Amino acid sequence: MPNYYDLNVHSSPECEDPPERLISVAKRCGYTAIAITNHSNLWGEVTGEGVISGIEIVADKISGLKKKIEIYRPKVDVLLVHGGDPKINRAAVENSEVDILAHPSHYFNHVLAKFAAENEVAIEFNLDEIIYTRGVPRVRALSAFQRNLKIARKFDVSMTITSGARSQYDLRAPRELIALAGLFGMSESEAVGALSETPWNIVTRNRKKKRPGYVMDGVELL
Amino acid sequence: MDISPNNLIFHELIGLFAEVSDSTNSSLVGIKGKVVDETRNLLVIGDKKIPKAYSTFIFSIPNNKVKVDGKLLVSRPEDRIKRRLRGGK
Repeated sequence: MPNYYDLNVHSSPECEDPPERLISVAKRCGYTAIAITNHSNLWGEVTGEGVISGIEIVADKISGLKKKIEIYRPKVDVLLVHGGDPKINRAAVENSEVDILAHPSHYFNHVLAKFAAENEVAIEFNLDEIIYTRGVPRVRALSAFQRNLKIARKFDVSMTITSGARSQYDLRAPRELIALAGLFGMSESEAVGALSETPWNIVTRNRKKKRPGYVMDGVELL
Repeated sequence: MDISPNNLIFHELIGLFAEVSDSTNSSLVGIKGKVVDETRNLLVIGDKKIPKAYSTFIFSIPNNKVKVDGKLLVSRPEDRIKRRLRGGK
């Protein structure tokens, strides 16, 4: 069985539950590790076993986004950008320092996909949106997922599935997320990859960059 | 521009002291000396021609030793130096 990782979980002080509680619940669900990714205005460093340090950067202007990326990039293993705005989405996929573009919603297209593939920015399918909405908003979320999936496949953009949990009760087991991903047409092998392989590649890539002596890919100080 | 670990792979290599630290051809491992010539695919260290793509090199530059995957050096030297101007891509 592969190791599963959930790269978008919010904890206290942003939400009620402390990280330790979320981690123990996630372990029971079958995750190897989860990333605590609080929004940048409420960020605090979280470390420990089964935790990947992360952040979700919220910005309303491109210049602010760039500044925040510069500040937080050396501190975290996973850097998400809170998407949903056309300009922010575009700025995020054009920046190779960004790991994941979180919930791009309807504003993801072939142009962004090309940049995302080039800069190795993964796009996120935040299943929170279909769990917590009903009626028209849910239909909209599903159709956006369907469209994004089609574009991501065509341009070979890496994909991640996350729960976007805001409390311990929001965490879903990997099998449940994989089944939910089937709703918008993601195949089982794609979904397993999006929960295990892709997140792990992102984390190892960033941890490698943090090692002392790292200059760039293939160049190392002795 | 002064040579540094950041710009080494876009820099003139002839004249630097180099050592082959790893290679798919094990008889090349351990060869050291001055780099005397460079082509697209080869680095000439002393009188030995080393294929770049299948070797890892350790270059000695002032104050530092830098380990470089030879794959990054595969390019004609005159083109390799120009890559820096375009942001290293």
